[in-house]
Amino acid sequence: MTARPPIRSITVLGAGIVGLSAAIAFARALPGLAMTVIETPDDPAALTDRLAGTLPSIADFHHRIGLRERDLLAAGATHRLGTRLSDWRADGVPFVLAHGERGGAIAPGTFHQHWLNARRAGKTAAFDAFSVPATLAAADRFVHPSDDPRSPISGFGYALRLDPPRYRDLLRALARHIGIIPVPGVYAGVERGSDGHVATLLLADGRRVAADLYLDCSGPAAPLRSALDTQWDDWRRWLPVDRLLLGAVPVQAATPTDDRMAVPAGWRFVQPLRDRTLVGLGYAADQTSDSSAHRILPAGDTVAPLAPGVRAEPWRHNVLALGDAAIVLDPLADANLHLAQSAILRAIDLLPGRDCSPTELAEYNQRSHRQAARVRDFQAAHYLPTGRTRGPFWKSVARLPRPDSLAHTLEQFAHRGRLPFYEDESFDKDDWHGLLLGLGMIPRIADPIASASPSEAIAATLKQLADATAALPARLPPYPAYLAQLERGR
Amino acid sequence: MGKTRVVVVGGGTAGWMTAAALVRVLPAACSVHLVESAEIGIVGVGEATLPHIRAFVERLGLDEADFMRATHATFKLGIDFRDFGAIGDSYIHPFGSFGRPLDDVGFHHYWLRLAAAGRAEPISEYSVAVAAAKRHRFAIPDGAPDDLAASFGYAYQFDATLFGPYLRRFAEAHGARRTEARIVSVDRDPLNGDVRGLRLDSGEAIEGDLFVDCSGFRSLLLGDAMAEPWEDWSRWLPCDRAVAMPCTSPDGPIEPYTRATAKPAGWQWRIPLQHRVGNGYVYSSAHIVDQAAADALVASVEGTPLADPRVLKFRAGRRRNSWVGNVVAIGLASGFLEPLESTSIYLAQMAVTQLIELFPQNMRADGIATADRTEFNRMVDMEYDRIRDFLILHYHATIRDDSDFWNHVRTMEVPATLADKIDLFRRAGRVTQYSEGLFLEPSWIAVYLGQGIVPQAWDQRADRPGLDGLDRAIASLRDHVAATATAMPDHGTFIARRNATIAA
Repeated sequence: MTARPPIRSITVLGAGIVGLSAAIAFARALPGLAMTVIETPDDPAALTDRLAGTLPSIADFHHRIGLRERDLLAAGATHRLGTRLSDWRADGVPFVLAHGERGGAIAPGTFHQHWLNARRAGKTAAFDAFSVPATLAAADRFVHPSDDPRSPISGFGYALRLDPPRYRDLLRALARHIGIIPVPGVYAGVERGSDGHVATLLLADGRRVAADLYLDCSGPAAPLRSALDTQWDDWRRWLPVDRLLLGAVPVQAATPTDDRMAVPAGWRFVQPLRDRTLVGLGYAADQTSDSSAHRILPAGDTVAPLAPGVRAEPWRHNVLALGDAAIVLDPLADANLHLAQSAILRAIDLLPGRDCSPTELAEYNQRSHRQAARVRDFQAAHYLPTGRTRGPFWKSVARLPRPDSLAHTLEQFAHRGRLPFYEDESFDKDDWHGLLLGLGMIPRIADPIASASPSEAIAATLKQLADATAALPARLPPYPAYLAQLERGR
Repeated sequence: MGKTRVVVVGGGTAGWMTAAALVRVLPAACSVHLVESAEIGIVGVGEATLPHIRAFVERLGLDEADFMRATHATFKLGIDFRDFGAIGDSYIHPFGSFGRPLDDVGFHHYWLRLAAAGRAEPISEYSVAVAAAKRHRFAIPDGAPDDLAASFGYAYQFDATLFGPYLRRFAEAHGARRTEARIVSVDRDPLNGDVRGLRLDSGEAIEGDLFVDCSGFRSLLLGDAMAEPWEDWSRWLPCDRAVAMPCTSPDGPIEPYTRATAKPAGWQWRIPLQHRVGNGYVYSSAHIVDQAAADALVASVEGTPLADPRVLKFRAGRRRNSWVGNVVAIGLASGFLEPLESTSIYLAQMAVTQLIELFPQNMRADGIATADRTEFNRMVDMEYDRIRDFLILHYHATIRDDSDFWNHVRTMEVPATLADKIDLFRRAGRVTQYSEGLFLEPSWIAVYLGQGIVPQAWDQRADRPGLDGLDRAIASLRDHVAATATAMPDHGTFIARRNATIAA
């Protein structure tokens, strides 16, 4: 009955983190495939191959390709429980974003609506004080969440902070283990068949590589995918950072907490690894020159330009663009690798036959676009007018236009604290609540369901919760000690 | 803060669902005044429901056993479709999944591979809901999430003419006001067009802030007063009449499922309740006249008729927006999709749920936020569009060529969104992914396969395991499914036992 010929061979252009991840995942899913990986010269603009930040979804991907957390820790990864945003709010008070629920079901209605009612009525602890991971992160503590939902230390997620070169080495070793050995090569062109498909990939040294399916993982220039068309949705009007200055400083104490600081020219980030601390500055080139950026971040040593946006059709004919070849975003929400990994898994789930029928590609492209658009919205929501307004960058972002889906989200939330439903969200309601309430967006009207509960009882419950949460960090060892314990236990 | 004065127009199922939910969930935010007229009567054929109804029953805090006894309800595990894909074919669309995924790949891909090798039983053999339905057995789903005993859901089949009154008692007990009268005119704000009040034949005038139109097909406020345009879908869903007639129950077991049997100009339902069986023929008046449809129904029912055949008229489609100004239409006043998949009560429930989420409390001071209205209409659109495509599939995916009706629906051009979905499944068994909405992956798989849309291929990953090992695994799964169903009590006995516990 398998009337249609299946895909038998795949060639991956690019052997960075994205290219290796794709090669391994496809090979794991379909062991019979002939897999070729062409190692092209590194493109410094291929951000997904260079960034350390990830989201909790990375655990799923690693599970699928057969990487255990201990392998990752041995390759220099550390846990990231939360990210502290400083100077981001108008009042300058820092807050911590973490992944997971807050408070739980304390009464009919959602937790954040009860918190909002309490806040309207008077004094209550900050919203992130009800998040166990945010509270632990604020105190530089980390612990793996318990599987027991009754435990106070459960119901949250954590991400990993990768040491990119060592992570790439780990992927390379895993690839070799399953028989994939990248071969160096430089893209020179393609030959196309009468059906529009790429029949042959030409390399600069004259080699010709034929495959049923090509994955372009070579970075934003994506010469292979761009040989078919170059349609691109430009998101620069919504995401103002178009330059990253990246560097490293000597190691600080290990912490499960990243820092992002709003500065007059944009934002800085700090990600401590085992043997060094990564730092970076995101800014807008039309306001801040590269030399001014260097003065703000003296440790910066490389400038990476970026033009946020997505490829209109990441998958066309038999060429699929992945990573920066498909979507370019700054690292504000640590979503770059998450998007690449979920694109890889989605492509495997929807893998067409050798004909690469437009139906399956359309489904893939549509879902990819929906997912990317909501990550874009989440990142653009970091520039709310309720937040910081000091400095040229922040003055100009206050006037930014917004995509319709974000405008609708913000309008609904500002009115009644509700989030509209969208398919393919990467950031769940808890993530959105943490960001919008953290930035000080207080909905105009109270939720009638939450308001039905007596306010004194809710206030007392909230006080108990905040106290109980605040007491948790003191019961846990500092992160370096926890890491050492994990390593001894290995 | 002043309560928002809600006026509900119409006391059918949708009206009382709305009133009951509002007084129960938002007692501090609103007052509810329902106006109904006994002269007008209710449609009330929506006897079969979908599993979502349970969330509604729970939210109101109703006792399931009491509610079921009062509405003479039975349990429903799915719908048995007969003669749809081809005369002589039948399949059950179950409220539950087929098998279990293995290594990130859906069960049906492995099944497709085995079926192609001639080594699989029909896919229904791997569904607990189907296995229980066929054996007339039922138990409340229970167990860990991946236990077979928890791999299904259930809904109710009830007497819709008793459901409204049951909710009415509940709503009135919780403070809803009811006025029995006919509406003679609608007062509107000359500036913004909002509805300000209703004038009744009793001479009384009722004022309100928010008006919920549950007036059924008449769409008194949204359609008449606000003149919201109608989007017609009859070119895809040509059935526009139903003739209904209840009968006595036959002796023997009570089926825990609804039956839908395709007929030359539509299809016929059979819904077993505790005390009787509901029957009806849904048809296209362009293809059969009323009398012939009624005759066909009378000739085909089992049991003794308990009433004369009653004809209902409708048309498929919806108002372009369901919430306009200060008028929200819920139920048939907002749109209608024929009862093939029992979606009417679900659509009303969904609209009530959205209205609660987006409720304009303190409306006299704050008015209605445009964003709330936009969001309500966006969600209603999404539900209607998805259900519409799912319904059309039942007609279009057929080889029937025995009547003008089936020739029409088989050859008609379907919405592009559905054509894409069918093509995607035909390629390699993929289902367009929804994370929310009414019918999720197992439902689409049931109908595609049940109506002869056979994928040309399957997920390549399903080729990984050896065929013999897969064969053994699937055979053992089938035994397990059958054993799980056989261990359940008889459906009728289960209901009788529950009724007895209440009486005691």
